[in-house]
This record gives sequence, structure tokens and C-alpha cells, in this order.
Amino acid sequence: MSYPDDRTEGPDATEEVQLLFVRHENSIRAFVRALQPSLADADDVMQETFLTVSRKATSFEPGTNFVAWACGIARLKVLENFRLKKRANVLSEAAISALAGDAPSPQSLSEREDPLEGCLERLTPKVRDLLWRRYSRRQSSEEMAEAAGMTANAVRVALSKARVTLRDCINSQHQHAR
Amino acid sequence: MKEKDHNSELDALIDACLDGQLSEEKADRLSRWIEGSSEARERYWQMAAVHGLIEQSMQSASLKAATGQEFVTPVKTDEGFRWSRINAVAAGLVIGLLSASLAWAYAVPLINPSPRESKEIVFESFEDPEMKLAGRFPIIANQWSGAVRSVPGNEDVPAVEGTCVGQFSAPTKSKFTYARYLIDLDEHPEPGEEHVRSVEVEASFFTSIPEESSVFQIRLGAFSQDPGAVRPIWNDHDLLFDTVLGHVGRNYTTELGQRTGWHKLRANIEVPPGTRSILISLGAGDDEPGSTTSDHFVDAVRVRLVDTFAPPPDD
Repeated sequence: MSYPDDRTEGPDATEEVQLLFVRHENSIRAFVRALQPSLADADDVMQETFLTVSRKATSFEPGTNFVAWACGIARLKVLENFRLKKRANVLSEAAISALAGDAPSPQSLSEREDPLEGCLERLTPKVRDLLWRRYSRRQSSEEMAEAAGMTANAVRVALSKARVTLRDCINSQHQHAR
Repeated sequence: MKEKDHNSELDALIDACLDGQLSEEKADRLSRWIEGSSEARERYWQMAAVHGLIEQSMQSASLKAATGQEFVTPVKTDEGFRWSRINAVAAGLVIGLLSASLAWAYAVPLINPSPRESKEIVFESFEDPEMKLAGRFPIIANQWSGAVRSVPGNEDVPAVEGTCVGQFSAPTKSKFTYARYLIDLDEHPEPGEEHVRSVEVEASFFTSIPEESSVFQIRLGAFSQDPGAVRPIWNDHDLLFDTVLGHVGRNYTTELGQRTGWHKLRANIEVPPGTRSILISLGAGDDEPGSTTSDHFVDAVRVRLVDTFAPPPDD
């Protein structure tokens, strides 16, 4: 079966980096979300990063660290987004650059995935429900407060405590496992 | 004690930042802290990792709770061999057995889920043996193009739906062989109420030699142009990435030696405002082109238009 009327497909390099991007999306997204806490902005940065990674596909050297390469591009996109949407209540550009310079390896982040589920189980169902509303349904504190019969401030405090508890639990189990 | 207070304040600022709750004054204070202290940066990354991990976990839990399935699901065939389709309850049990720590995810209540209207607008199981796909890229809506032909299912390649399956031609110049379809959203009027529209695509893919590693792919692109104008954009990578309104790709690489040959993949794109055409591109290829000899098949392609409306208020 041949299709003489059609043009050659795009370069394989583009397909390769897009494949790698999808495979490592979680690691890249974790990096972006750390520097760009706003969910909407993080989505924009991820989209821009994907497009730039696709455009620059030929400059990626197969066999080298794709996540590091993609996160380098993502870091620039975070800074671009920062300058574009200059806001008062976010970290300074110097702070974002300093954080990007000290970013942990994707491997060290992924090593913390294993303890997470066990740590989540230790939380009460009500707190897990709040986490689910915040991170999956992306509800605001006010929306969660209305649904859970709490004040918005109480929701924020509960979420903050939950995250600190999870961090300490994950650190503890992570160190225990090493 | 003083150091504990110090860390508590830093943790509170970091958490507020990652939760989007920083005031301007606190943002300045945290920025200075991060710029000047490697310890502050380390604590920031630890907390950022927690936010990221919770987000991944919760979104994964939602998907499982809503569908009972992972994105990639072994498919039951008429032959009854290999794997059974995992229904919502069984998925909970299976995953619970494999990883008891995930079982709680199913206890998360789906309170007042947003109302959805789902309409299947395309179903293709390649039943017509005379099916001719016009060129490699569609130039009009509602017509498949690509290097795929209808072949009868058999004992080795049992059809998922009907009696025939689509067989991809062996790739030549590129890694993948494709089947493509265009949807013209002008043919599907939007509802009057406030809503979010998305297009969901699922397709089952098969590799004839599970001992070799294959790659299956669904890509979706949203364009403001009419269907006839999409092909030249898609074929020009620079133009594509400057023009496309939205783009979603989902790849799946088979694991060597898997018993089943059929794999169901799903992809979903939220339709950006101003979208006229949606391109669906289904691809199949070898993980290491040239080194393998697998034949690849596709069957049971379903495309749904989903309108999600604002949720009713909680009681």
C-alpha cells in the first residue's frame, strides 16, 4: 500500500523527543510546579516547554539525560512566564533562578513517591478529602470550606498541617529506607 | 527553640507560596530567604516535592475512582483468551491486592460530580473490507486517511469489535505508521449553558509479536482553521507549533513478553476557545525501528464529544 500523494513525515528527532517528553512528563511537571506553583501558569509553562522541546528536537543528543535537558528549557519558560505575568505576590526572579540552580535530581524526587501512599493513609478521611478537592478538583479554600462545613481559614490551616505532616513522614521513611 | 521557630516560619512561608497564598510582603520575605540560604532552598524543594506528589496521587485516584481503569487496559477479546476487562470493582480489588496502600483512593467520595453530556460521534472497527483510506492525511472531515487497511480478525489477531481489524502498513521512512481523522466542530453545535467541551478518544492497539517492543500513540490537535486547511499546517513543524491551539499526545510502549497483544489507550483534549477542527492521529511503530518485525493493528476506535457543566452546589 503506497501513498504517493503524501509528503514525508516530520523528522524522527521530533517524534523521539515528544515520546520522551510524554514518558517523563511527571518529572518535568514536578520541576515546573515547584518553580511555578500556580496550576494555570504551570499548565501554560508545560505547554510552552513541550512546543519548545519539539522545536529544538535536533539539538537533543540521544543517550544524554532528557529530563535534565527538558528541565533546562522549562526553567527558561518559567522565567519567561514570570516576566510576562509580572505579579507582586510571587517569588522574585533571583529567587526562582537560585531555586532552579539547586533543583534536586528527578531521581531523588521520584524516590519519595514510594513512601507517599503509606503516609497518606495516616491522614484522616476528612483531610484526604480536602487534599483531593484541592489537587484533583482544584477547588479554592472557599469552595472546600462550603462543601466541608468549615471556614476557609480552617481549610487552609488543615491543608498546611497535612502537607507538613506528609513531608515529615516521607522524609522519615525515605531516610529509614536508605 | 529559636531554630524551631525559625524553621516553622520558613515552612509556613514556603507552604503559602506553593499554595498560591502569598501576600506581597511575605513574597518579598521568602524571596530574600531563598536567595540567601541554601538551607531555605532545600526546605523549599522538599515541600515542593510533597505538593507535586500529592497532586499526582490525587489525580490518579480521581481517574481510577471515576473509570475504574488505568489509561492503558488489557482488552477482552471474543476468543476469551488472555486478560479480562477489569471493571470498576475488580480494579479496586486488584490494585488493592497489588498495593494495599492505594485502596483508600476508592473511598474518596465523588460528591456532586459535574454533570456531563457525552455523545459518541465516531465509531470505527474497520469492518468494510473495501475500505479505502484516501491519502495519508485527511483533507475533509469525517473520513479516515492513513496507511491502514481492513483485514479479517483471526485466532492470532481476534477482533475487539465485529469481525475485522485495521492493519497498519509497515513503516518506511518514519518511526510510526498512522491513521488520521478530522472532526469539524461546526457540525456539533455547543450547548447554551456554561460548559467545558472536550474530545475523548479511545482505541485498541495490537502487536503481533509481544516479544518485541512496540509503541502506540494517540495525538490530538485543535485548530482554528477549517478541516481543509489543517494538512499543510500539520506537515510543517514550525508552522504547526506556532498555529496549533492545543495539542495532546499519549504514547504507550509495550513491555517485552506481555501475554496480551491488545492494549486500549485513551486520550482527551479540552477544546480551546475558537477551535474549528480536531485532528485525531493514531500511530503504531517499533520502539527500535528496523530491528523488529511486528505487525500492528487497531480496532474499536471511539470518539466522544463531552460537555461538562458547572457542578450543582453541595448540600
